[in-house]
Amino acid sequence: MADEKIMEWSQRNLDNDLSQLEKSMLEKHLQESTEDRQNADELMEVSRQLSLLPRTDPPHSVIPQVLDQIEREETSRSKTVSSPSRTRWLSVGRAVAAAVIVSFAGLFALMKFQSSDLENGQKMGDTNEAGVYSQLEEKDANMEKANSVIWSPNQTYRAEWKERKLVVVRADGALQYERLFNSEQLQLQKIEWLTDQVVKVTLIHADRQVPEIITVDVVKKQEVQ
Amino acid sequence: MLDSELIQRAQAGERKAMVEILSKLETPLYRTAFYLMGNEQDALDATQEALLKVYRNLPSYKGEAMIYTWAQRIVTNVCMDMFRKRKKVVLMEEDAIREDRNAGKEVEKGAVISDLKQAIRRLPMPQQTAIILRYVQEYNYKEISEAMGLPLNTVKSHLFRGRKQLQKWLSEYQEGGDFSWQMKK
Repeated sequence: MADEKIMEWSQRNLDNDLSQLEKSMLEKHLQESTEDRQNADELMEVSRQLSLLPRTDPPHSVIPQVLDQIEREETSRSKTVSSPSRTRWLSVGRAVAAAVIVSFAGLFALMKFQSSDLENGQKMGDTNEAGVYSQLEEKDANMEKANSVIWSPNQTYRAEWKERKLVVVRADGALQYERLFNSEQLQLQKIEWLTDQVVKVTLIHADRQVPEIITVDVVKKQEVQ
Repeated sequence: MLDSELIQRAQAGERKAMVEILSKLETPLYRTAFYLMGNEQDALDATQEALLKVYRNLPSYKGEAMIYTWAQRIVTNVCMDMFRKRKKVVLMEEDAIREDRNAGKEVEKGAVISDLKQAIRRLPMPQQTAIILRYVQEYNYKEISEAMGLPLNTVKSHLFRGRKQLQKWLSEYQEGGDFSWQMKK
């Protein structure tokens, strides 16, 4: 078996993703190769330690704050119109939330809460592992760069600026909208979603002071004013 | 589990059902936020913001993904937004490569990373997310794919790379001999 295949199968084995036949073939190979066996054992140890990560519970519920915020937003939205039914559910909601908090308190009285604040460590980069990892990567790998991808509020679409193109992709990876900007002088300043389907792109032209703003309805696939 | 009837009741405007859903989602979302943000307070902030988004967007939730994975996508995006706003670290690929070289030097200098959780936070965000969803949420590939909004093979790639990187660090630490890379119990 090729090294890349062994590496991939050793990884998939940790996730119970191998068929019985594949598992037997892998076991057979690992019995014959000390190096691959050692690598597989090391991976298994990492996986074992990861599986022991504590399932940390929140120290208290944030649902009362969520409900308060919703209430504030709804109140400010309808300042002139009093809506008793709207506030009634919030009272019900708060009662349920209070019950949640009581449950939490009970739990914490019984359990020793593991609080382990982590230092705000700096992220390190990815390695360019050749072989199996590269093979697994797909065309949309660049979409994963978190700082160039902006999700719509309902998490249905993600917008990205890519080589002078505005690209909008659905959650399943399918292309929803694409538009190429011809000028090489244009640079992206900001992407933001105005609604679940309208995205606003602010571009800066190298020779101009005033930014160019394009607003697109990605469902209707047309520019909007 | 959150059944579809409860979700439909919440979508129809039944507030009690909505609060019940938020209550059931709260702990799983907090756990992901805790590992991504690295501390309790930021995790609580991210959870609160994510639950607000769940509330606002539940009426348009169509059920293509499980509600748990749909909500996980929201919380991971909230965490990324929080990093971005603070201008902390969400690195472009070239920066990531540069950082990785620095990471190598750090290891060479014998810098200590004594905690597995800290080591995870040193991985690029997609790898961190894949690892957390796999081991803390115990998701399978398909569920991670839904939660991250990425194709299955891309998810595998992130998970495998993350594990491989952690294995490499573990191996280097053990070779260093000065300390062991063990999780705090």
